[in-house]
Amino acid sequence: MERINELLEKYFRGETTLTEENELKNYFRSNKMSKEHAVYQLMFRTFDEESNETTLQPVEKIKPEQKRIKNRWIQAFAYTGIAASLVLALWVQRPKQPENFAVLSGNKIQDTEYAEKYTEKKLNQVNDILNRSMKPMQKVQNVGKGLQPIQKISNIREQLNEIQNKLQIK
Amino acid sequence: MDSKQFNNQIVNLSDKFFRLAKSILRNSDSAQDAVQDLIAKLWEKRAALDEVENIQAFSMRSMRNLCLDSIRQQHDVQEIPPEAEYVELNPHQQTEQKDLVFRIKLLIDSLPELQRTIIRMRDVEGMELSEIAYITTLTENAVSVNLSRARQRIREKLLNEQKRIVENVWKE
Repeated sequence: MERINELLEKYFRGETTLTEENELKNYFRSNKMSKEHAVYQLMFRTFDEESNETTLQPVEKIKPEQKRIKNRWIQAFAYTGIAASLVLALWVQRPKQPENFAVLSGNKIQDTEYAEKYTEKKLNQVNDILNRSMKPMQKVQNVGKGLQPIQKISNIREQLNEIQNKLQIK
Repeated sequence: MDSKQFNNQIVNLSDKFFRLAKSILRNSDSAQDAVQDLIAKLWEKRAALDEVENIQAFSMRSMRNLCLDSIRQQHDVQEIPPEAEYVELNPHQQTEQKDLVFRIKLLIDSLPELQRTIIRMRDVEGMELSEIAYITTLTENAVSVNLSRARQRIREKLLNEQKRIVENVWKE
């Protein structure tokens, strides 16, 4: 009792510490106070009540917008990556095309029969060209044969020279 | 300071800001607007908040200054009266405890701005004298003096009312 009276006097002089004020608050919350202190109970109850007062509407928290701006580049990279892997996946899994084909003047030919006929035709042409180009060679051979007698003439000349030489010496 | 830190250290104190603003402005709607205004202004200056040592005291000081500015601006046009005013009870009025609590709130509201701000920061919010001194830009001694005046004024009124009620009971 003495203690509370002391604390109250100190309190009204504005000299109590927070700890001492809490002691007073707890005393007035307890309902075990003496009648002479009852008049102050309302005052401490008012403080307690006011301390629970909240805003009329809850104040909205700040959304992490700043972070979103920082992440924009990362997002851009992520989306590019996703797009790239999708394209890659589609390319890898695309339906397989027949691998057998011939190329004619830069065009793919998948008709086997046509390709064979075409090849045969072209091979024949090559054969023809070879045959034709070999003909002059045969003629050259003939010329060679025709020239054989001329070689004999040179032999005769050698023999004539020998005879002449012998005649001169003698 | 990022949005997470800002929400934790400042937005979470909104109720405290609201009580301070309401004590100064004596109007709930104006107090709510003032809190929204404060949050927006502090968010704009969030880069500078990293340098602040005591975020709570700094924000409370900003809240008080914002409210005082708003009072000064409105003073030129028309002074806003408090939502309700404290009137002395006449000897025949009977009041319940709930009404008495409300009457004490009005009694605190009838004190000068500095006194009601200080008594609420101390007795409602439980703040240290040094913090209150920083918020009000006073010395700790000046805070104690104003705190004492505010408490004694409430004591006087309470004792007067009690005396009147007792007299009333004796008369009957």
